[in-house]
Amino acid sequence: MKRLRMAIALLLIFALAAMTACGGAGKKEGTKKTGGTVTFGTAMDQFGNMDIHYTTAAAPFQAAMQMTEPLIGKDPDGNLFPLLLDEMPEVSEDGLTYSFKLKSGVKFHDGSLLDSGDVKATFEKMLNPKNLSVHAGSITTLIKGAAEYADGKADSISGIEVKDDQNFTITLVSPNASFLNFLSAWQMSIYPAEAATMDGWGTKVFIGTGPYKLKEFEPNSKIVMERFDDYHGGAKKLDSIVFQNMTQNTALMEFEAGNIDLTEVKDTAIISSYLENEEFKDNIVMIEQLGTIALSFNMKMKPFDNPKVREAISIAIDRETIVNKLLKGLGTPAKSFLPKGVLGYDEDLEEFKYDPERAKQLLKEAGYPDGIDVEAITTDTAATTFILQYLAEAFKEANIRMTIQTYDAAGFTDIRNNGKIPMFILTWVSDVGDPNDFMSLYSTPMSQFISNFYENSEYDAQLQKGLTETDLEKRAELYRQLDYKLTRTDYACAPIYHPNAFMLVSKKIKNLRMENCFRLFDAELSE
Amino acid sequence: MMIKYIISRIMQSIIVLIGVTLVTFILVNVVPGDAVSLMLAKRTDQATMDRIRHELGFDRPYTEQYLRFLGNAVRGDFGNSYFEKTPVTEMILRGLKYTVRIALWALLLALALGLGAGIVSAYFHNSLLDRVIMFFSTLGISAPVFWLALLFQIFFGLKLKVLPISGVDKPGSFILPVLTLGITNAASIARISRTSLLEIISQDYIRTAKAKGAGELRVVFKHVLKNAAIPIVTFAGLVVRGLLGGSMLVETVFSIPGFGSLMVSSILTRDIPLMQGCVVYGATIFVLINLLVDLAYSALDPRVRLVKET
Repeated sequence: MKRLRMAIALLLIFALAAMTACGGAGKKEGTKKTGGTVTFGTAMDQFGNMDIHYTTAAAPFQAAMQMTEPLIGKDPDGNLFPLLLDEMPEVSEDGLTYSFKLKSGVKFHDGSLLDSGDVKATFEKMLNPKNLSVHAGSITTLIKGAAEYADGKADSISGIEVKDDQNFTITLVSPNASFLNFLSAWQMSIYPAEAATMDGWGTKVFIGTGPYKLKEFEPNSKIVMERFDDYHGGAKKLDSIVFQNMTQNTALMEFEAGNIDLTEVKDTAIISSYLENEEFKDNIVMIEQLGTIALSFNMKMKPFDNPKVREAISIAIDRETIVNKLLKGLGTPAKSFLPKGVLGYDEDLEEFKYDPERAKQLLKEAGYPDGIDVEAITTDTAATTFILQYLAEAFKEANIRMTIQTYDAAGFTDIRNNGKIPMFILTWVSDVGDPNDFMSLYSTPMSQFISNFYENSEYDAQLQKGLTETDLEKRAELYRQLDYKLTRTDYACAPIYHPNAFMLVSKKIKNLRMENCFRLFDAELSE
Repeated sequence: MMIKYIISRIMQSIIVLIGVTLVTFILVNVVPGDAVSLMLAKRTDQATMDRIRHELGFDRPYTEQYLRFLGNAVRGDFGNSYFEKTPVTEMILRGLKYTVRIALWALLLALALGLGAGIVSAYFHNSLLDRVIMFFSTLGISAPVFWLALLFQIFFGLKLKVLPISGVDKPGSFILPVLTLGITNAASIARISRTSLLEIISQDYIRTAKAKGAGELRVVFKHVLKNAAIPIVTFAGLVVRGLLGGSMLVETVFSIPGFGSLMVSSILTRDIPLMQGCVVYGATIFVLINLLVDLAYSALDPRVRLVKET
């Protein structure tokens, strides 16, 4: 027995030695400074590079918002303001040329001054196909000479003219009322001209004009940003902002343990369980989003080629039940594709009426007396699959038998882009907030990228009008009509609800408004 | 003789690796999920997609694409990741730094705990202690790795607050991942070693050794363990491979930027150079481990070498 005890003791000592040896290798935490640090726990598995020219993933954008800035900013209420500019740009009579004057004395994190050349170089970097920027497509059709530059037929973008260090003009292909909104999107942030050729740009070096500058970056794992004291808008209060990679479950545990200060919560069930939890209910913060969740149909496929079938599906959706029961009230039932807060939203429009009996009748009229069999496609990570699962049951009321197929995100995107998805739940959240950003999704040929194939020349013509109309009232009316046409006449999609985002936020963080921008840079800590 | 055997095993390994590059290339081109459309998400026109396809060489014939990939792979060059824009090899080495560290400590823990428990169990077989050990080892084998990981996070991280819940840069960050991987594998090793030890203990030569008056410890370590080593080494080889595979789950749960999570995210985002690099590097590691295990056999038991040579 003595030998046994000895053996066990030896094993324990060995195991403990192994533990301490591998644990001790970690770095020691720094001491807390006066302004403090805010740590954000988020999924960073698609955060290999800080340059948001390469991505549409959320976390890199949220980090870039602390470090870089576009020419034009947008406040929490959606109003545009000159951010890197002296004043809002002047537009020529024909609505084609915008004259910009940069704010003087704006410094990049490396101490160099922002000038017009940096603006032009940033656009060119984005358009150069060698850089594989995902946002290039939106510029080629917008700015004069951009497509030629992207095709290698020109040495520079003819539509961007540098007058001097502070003044430059941008000329468009055709008048576009959403251009300034477009410039306020974060992917339009201005980098120093050298960014295009800098070694390790986006992984080892990342320079902008924003209130925080890069201190440390470990791809897909962690980013540490520290205060930029020469920030042109005046130095901010926090010492540093840290993004730490973690899955949702891990982030919730880290938050409850007090190790991180904020994290986004995506699962409705988890949000409502926190709202019912005495300890954490005040930590849940809702952020209004400009977005819509809708059922989108493939109008080239049977039975969705028939407008009556699409109408039947739309009125077979019980939007009230989805929002009140499934989402526990954490969204708003949709009555249009445009959400509240976007120009053209019709406050007075009546709600969609849930009517499974009329849906059955419509299917009969469409030549489907026994109802229809349809297939919806979703991804394994989609946060909206539970809506489809509910609909699959609820649709039976209206003689709509729906099956659900699940793919991984890559497979799904592939099928969608090839136009082979019969029906899916579209999540459209706008980073620009302009009605064109919503309605142009259903224009030709854009609609084919969401496997929808809505083709309506009148719709396209009116969309074009919306881009050139500068009178706000008239512009709003144009989009109101477009929305009505899309969702109530042609039923190209069936809007379900407008989502909101939810964050768990530590009570010591003050001044956090995150509409239109992830304003961690404005946060302050209170003890 | 031994050298000839080693050379033939290495040649076999090279053929396997070339096969792996071919299968990888075919799979990458067959699975649904076009890298370019995925990269561009929802926001682009056909012209931009075509421009990028051309830039990446996707419009070249498959044979040309494969030969270029193979040629570069031999030199260890898999190109740059589409998203990180960093050489794939650099990213993989960065990931392996964590994965290997965790796997090694987990292996050590698994061997120490597993062998220790196995020896104790075999030595006192059919006693209460043996049953308790076997009960816990069954529990350890049955527990899914991610479930155990979550339990550890909740217990040590959230409730007791003695260890970090996730990450790699706090003191003690590696303890929970190592424990998770180590314990599940220790359980299997304990069972395997108990069984093979019991088999050896009942052999005639052990009884002879005892009859000749050899001490207990000498019998256990010199005669029993040495002869029971082959199945244990085989299993340890499997454990190492399992550790690299299990690291994907553990790395995801504990937010460790290791090789496993790199591989998973490369597949999810269809980052083709990174995907190909991960598979080829992963396969190389597996082939090398197999080679080492085979060589260990022949060192432990000369019969293996002789059989292969004839």
